[in-house]
Amino acid sequence: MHTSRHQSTEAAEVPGRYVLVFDQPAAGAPGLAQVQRDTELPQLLAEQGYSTSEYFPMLGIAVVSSDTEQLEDFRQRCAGHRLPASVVPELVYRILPDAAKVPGQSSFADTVEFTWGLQAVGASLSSYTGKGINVAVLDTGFDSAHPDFAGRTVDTKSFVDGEDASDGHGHGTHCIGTACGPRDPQQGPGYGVASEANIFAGKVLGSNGSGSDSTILAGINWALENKCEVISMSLGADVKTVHPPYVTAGRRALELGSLIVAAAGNNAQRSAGNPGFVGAPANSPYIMAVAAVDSALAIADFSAQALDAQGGAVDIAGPGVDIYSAWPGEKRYNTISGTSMATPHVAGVAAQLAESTGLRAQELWDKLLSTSRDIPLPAEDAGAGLAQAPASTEGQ
Amino acid sequence: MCGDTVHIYVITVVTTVAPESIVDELQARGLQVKQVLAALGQIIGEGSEQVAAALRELDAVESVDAEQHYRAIGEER
Repeated sequence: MHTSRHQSTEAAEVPGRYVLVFDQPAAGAPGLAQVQRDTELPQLLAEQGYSTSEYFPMLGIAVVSSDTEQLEDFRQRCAGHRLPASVVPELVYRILPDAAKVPGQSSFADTVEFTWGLQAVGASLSSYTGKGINVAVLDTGFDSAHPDFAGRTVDTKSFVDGEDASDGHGHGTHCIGTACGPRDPQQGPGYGVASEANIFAGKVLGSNGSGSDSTILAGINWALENKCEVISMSLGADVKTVHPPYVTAGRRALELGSLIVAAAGNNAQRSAGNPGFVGAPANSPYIMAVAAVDSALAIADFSAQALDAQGGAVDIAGPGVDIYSAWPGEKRYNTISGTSMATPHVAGVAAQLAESTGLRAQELWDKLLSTSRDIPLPAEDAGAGLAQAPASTEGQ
Repeated sequence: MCGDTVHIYVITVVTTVAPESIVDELQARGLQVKQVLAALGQIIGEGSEQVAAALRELDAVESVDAEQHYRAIGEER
């Protein structure tokens, strides 16, 4: 589901040219007989003064030049013959442009003001900050003492036996930094997308970076109890089989007004001809799978490709190569890569869109895809495109 | 046969049943219940493969799945 790329920039109507489709029977009615397509339809077209040189009897489709009056007359004649017909303008298609010709900036770099990721998703230009939106990041915990988060609303909870909610790994603090960190920290570039969202840091992976269904599902349950509109999960397992508990969890989250986004997976090695596959839990049909692009908006070498199964699609892409963000302890900052890093960019954008539009759950999912930026990558790599923050003037 | 091997299982309850209401029934069939996730309609517990097979027979149970493991997937490169 949700694999189609929006095509509005790829096709334009041809003035005075129409496509007539003669095969839309009423529900339950049989389609057109071959004899109608072979004889009756070309005769009708000729009687109307249309050329039959672009009539395709196998398809029951004709492309004609016509004015609207003539078209309406023909439509009535078809109705008189009980021939169902629909009319759409002819479109002209173009090959997808290469990166250099895609509208918008196609290459980014960290600046003193903002990371390249914030620039690429448009967060650096958006006045929306996710204010009032609850964002759960389920990961390795959080460094609550990090100075960039002083004064922020942060709820933490550990679901890992024998470990508190602090981040003994670094991955969780980094992901929270990208999703919800500051845009104007005391030092270095701004790196947080939804910089005023309420943070729910659920520790579902231990300090060794691993966790299980027990911890992750408990974290999702906690996020839902806390009415988190967005749940970000930068974790995965390289298994192709859809794991049923996450089908239920993703569906239940949508029913309760929450959107779960998850990393598509880092199991590709494209430079060696291995495109990888979307693993669990991102391959749940109700969990949004996030791919990673680099600062030239090319697909990351490690970013997993769509799996040919329901739910195995890549839904959207985010910045995921050489991402600067918060890190625990004295190190404070680190630059790392992964679909893990793309996922909190998308989660942050989701929080901004939830704030700007009021949309939740499936409607928020649809909005994220429909407002994403078309980039010259196939849908199996990057889904609907690069997630985009709402412009400052965008409303419901 | 390895039916006695003990695993952690995720039991997904059908949407028409509150998970809390079938905890006793699951325990009576041998599941050691560890967590009840009410918002998700799921129960996590420990039991043998034979117990899991018995739970799958219950009308109130949608699925019984052995626990999987996951990793954080960002790295320094």
